[in-house]
Amino acid sequence: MLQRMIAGGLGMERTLEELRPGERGTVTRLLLATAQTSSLARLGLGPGTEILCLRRTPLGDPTVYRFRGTDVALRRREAGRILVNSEE
Amino acid sequence: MKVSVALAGNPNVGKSTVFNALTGLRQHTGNWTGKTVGPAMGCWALAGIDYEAADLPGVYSLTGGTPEERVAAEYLEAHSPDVLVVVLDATALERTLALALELRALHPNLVICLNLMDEAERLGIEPDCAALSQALDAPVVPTRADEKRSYEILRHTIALLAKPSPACREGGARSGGGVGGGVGGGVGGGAEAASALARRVTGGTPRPRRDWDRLFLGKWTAWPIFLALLFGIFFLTVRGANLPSALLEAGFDRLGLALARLLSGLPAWLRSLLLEGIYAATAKVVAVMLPPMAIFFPLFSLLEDLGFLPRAALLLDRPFAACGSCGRQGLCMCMGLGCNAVGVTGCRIIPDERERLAAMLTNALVPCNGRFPTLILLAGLILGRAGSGLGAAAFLTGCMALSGAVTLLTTAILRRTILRGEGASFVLELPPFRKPRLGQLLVRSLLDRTIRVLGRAVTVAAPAGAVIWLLGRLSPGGTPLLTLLARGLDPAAACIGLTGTLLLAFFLSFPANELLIPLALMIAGTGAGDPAALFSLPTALCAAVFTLFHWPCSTTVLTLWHETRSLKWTTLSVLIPTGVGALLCAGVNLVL
Repeated sequence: MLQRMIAGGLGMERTLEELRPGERGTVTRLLLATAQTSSLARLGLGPGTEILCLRRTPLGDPTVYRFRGTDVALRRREAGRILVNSEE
Repeated sequence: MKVSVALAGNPNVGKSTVFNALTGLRQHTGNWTGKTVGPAMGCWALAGIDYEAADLPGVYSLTGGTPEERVAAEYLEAHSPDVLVVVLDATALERTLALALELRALHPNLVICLNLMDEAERLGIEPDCAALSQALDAPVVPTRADEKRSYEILRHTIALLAKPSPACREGGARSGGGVGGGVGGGVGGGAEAASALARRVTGGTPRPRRDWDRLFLGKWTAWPIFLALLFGIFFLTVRGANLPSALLEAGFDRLGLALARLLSGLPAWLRSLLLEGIYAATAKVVAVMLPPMAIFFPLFSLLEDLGFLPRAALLLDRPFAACGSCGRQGLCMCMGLGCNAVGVTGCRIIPDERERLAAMLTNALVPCNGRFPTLILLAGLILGRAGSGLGAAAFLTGCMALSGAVTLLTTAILRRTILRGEGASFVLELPPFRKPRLGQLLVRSLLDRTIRVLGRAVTVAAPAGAVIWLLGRLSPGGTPLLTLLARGLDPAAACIGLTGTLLLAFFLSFPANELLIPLALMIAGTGAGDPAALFSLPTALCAAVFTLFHWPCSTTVLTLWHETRSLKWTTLSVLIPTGVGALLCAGVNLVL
């Protein structure tokens, strides 16, 4: 919770899960296990990556995100541990 | 001397299209010992020199720990190919360049194949090949599926690079020299370097793609589309297979007569064993299994090529996640509806080992289309006159719903007991929708899936035919062994609401589920009689449940063994559905 309160440089630091469809952010930190972090890094998702929340699936989870020109689906569980800076 | 070539690239960049264009149909499955995925091998000749190419599995990097990455990295290390072709997606350079940068540092003879140029053109993207070539210090060949010549240029470029003399190499399609500035970087910087380079070499004013996902993942449209497609495939498979199956059977009958004349010199018993036992069983299995598979798999591959399958996996993810699995298992179940053996092989798409095992062990809980005819027949018996048309469709839908619920429940139990473990993270790339390549699609689905599955089916059908023949002929004390066995099974069968005849038919239809009813009629001694005589209402209900849940067919068991190489998991894959079926049938039997 404390980590979330720390204000980012340009906007509020939030979790990726909190982005609503249509909102953008820049990844600041990943609070995930090493294996998960590296599997996301392979797709090009890491600190500094600009990310757009595209749409939620009909059952509400997972959510589709777009970064580096690719659409990737993530579950809430992982998205909740990825911190982003976003202008609100 | 052979020149060895390897093709590397991210998933979804059209790498197999390039591979097929280079090698034509001269391919064979590699005997390279990648446990999960082995590269396909192919060859071609140009100007008297032979080229042999390996199609490495699609990867994002070589340093990660996924099975595909290990296979690709190990192959490159063990075989050190003369030329390495890196296939990039011209419409998504930012994503695909990272691998090219990584491989640039690894291999001296790199050819960059800038694929999907036709799609890039449609989207208004104009990559600067000269700048890309200079930055990567490698020849760049733009290729497009609608222009065969572009692959010819790729072959010639590979040939130029394969020549040992550096003078020849300089004359290649390379348009610049010198190591590109700022290229490379550490593992973490790979993506950033790729982004920077992609920005530098991508020109034009890109138009956005049409947003098909608004439909395929839309709140109100996604499920109806998914269910309609699934239903459409089944309708076409079940309906479309009837006629070719009948034709095949007639053809095999004629061939059998010809064989009988050919074998007329043999003793009568041996001729009967060969023809009425082995040949008849094998011919029957081929005739009933080939047409549905030849319809189902191309249709399924069509959805795969379109890019629909990842969307379906995404749609299904939530309920599976609740059971400790992921949406990809839902896809394997859909494949299992066509054939459980293919469903089991399809489980390779599940990255987490425990999740994958759980999906493999439960795949046979989904009825393959070999069990549909039995279920449709039983629908007629149970529902009476209402059991045709809509009634039968409703009955089948109920069967599917039951099978889905039991699969989810069993998966959840497995994931909390013998396959306990932290769930893997679910990361699923959604490639853009693409126009499928029909020719390749047919070849792949027919050769890869249909023929392989059929091959396995035949290897078991032949000996099983001999056993059934023997059981039918041997009659110690005047009663055929089949009848004796059926009587012996009666008490056990009664516990689960079946008759000995039916249970024996279930055992003997191990080679192919389609054989259940014909075998039951044969055991009962009524030949081509009325199947209704075999069932009362309770036995029909129990038979329907047992048709849904019993041991997988021999082809599926063989496939499970091939995939797991473990006696323990193969045995469990037989015991789990059998146990579920026996329990449910005993329950139904108690209630009725």
